[in-house]
Amino acid sequence: MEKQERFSSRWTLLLSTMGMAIGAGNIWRFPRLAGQYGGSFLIPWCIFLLLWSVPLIVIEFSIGRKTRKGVIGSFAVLMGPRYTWMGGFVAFVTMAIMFYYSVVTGWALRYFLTAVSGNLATVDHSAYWEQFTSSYQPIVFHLVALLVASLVISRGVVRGIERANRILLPSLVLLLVIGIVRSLTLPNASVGLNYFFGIKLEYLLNYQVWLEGLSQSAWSTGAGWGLILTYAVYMKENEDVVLNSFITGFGNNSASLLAGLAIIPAIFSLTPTVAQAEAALQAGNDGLSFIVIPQLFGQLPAARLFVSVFFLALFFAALSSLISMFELSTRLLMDFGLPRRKALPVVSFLTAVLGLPSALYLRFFKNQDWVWGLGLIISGLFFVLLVKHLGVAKFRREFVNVVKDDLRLGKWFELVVRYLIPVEAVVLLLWWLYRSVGWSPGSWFNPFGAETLGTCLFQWALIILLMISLNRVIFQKLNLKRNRE
Amino acid sequence: MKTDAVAMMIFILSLTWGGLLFFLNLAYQKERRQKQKTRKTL
Repeated sequence: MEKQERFSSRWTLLLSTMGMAIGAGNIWRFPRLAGQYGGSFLIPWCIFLLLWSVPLIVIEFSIGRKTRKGVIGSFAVLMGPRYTWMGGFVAFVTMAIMFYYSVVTGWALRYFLTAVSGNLATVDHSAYWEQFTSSYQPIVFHLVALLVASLVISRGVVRGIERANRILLPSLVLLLVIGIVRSLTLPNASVGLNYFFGIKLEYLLNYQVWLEGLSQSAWSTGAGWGLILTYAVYMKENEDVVLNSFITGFGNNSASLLAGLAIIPAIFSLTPTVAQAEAALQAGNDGLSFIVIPQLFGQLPAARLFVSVFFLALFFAALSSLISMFELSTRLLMDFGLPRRKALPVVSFLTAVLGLPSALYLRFFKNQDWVWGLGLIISGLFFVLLVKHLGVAKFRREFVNVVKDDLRLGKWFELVVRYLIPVEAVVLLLWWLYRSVGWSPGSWFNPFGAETLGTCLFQWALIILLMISLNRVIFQKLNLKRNRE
Repeated sequence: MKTDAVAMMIFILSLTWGGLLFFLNLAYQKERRQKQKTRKTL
């Protein structure tokens, strides 16, 4: 049996888990919501860090350290053969996200290169975005992004994932700090800060703002995706799970605040009126990043530098998350007995092919983002069901609080996992599905619509049925006794 | 800047960044203790 790799230190493990957590969502989604709802959004966003994200991160770290298996193997080992399909669903959701996430990483790279060359300053940004996304260029950059991620993963945990995150995460922080200095020194930056941190009572009392805070915390930290579980497979036996989970969660939120400080004051400063700034923040994730920001930052002196900094930060954030998704998929195949060098080409090929529709058609990309983004809430729920199956108190005792001198996990965890997270998950799912009916009232049931309730239910049901029907085969093929590296 | 926004900014930034620094410091102290223990046993 070949020896399994381990992260060389706690710090490199933490850099890697934070690199995983800090992704495009911190840069293109958080500032959009924080600018719209301000401090009234930040309060629920902070609360749900403790009531959703950190408990799920603790669960993932503990499971990975205990089983030393990827997502499917962990569900099979801990819940029994009958529930292998649940691990299959969690793994599929994250892989489905990986297929289009590679496309987003490619977009960021393309825009960075265009910004560096200075060409982005002279174009009509809406038309350029339209032309770019309807051309074949996104395919090329999707392939480049996945090639970079594959190269990192091919070198293994220490020489690949660790080294990449040692460069990516500090560079990302440095780029955001450059952005903050520029943003806060602009005239009227304080208007943006007032919006970012000001509390409006009508928003604070609005349940939708609370659900937005929960959604952002759930999507941004990567809790319940299976990615932390995958990195935890390589952590040392005596690592402090609870402390690492708090650092990952707080690190992610800290990076979001850095991104908010770099973007929101600049948007309010560079738009002529507050109403226009508010409209800019409602342009959607891709609209804000690829149309509004290049347009606004283009007015700055040294525009080329600052637009390039923004897209390089977006690329680094997306790449560090893409790397973790590649590792999750590679680990899955390794659990089926394939060595890393054989598993990786399979993952790369699948990502290249299954990412193509998202690279070619923006409508398909939006459909996948909608279906599998929401699917992550189900993944989080499955992790909680796993813990409930084992017994929440037993899990806290035997999986988490096992190493002497570690930060102890209190009883609050049992209350949150038993009652709160299941309620949060169900409410969140129902709320988003209900909202989607309003987006397309006449065709909400359409299984082939871009962002309809029907397409969610159809695709989730399809994958769950597929996983259940393949349950026995998947379990039999799992190599539960061997760990190959 | 408005006073309530300043107060909220101080609160959120100290909670999040302060929280991160607090936990990082805990981890650092623990690593240092473990290293000292290992040196003594050697």
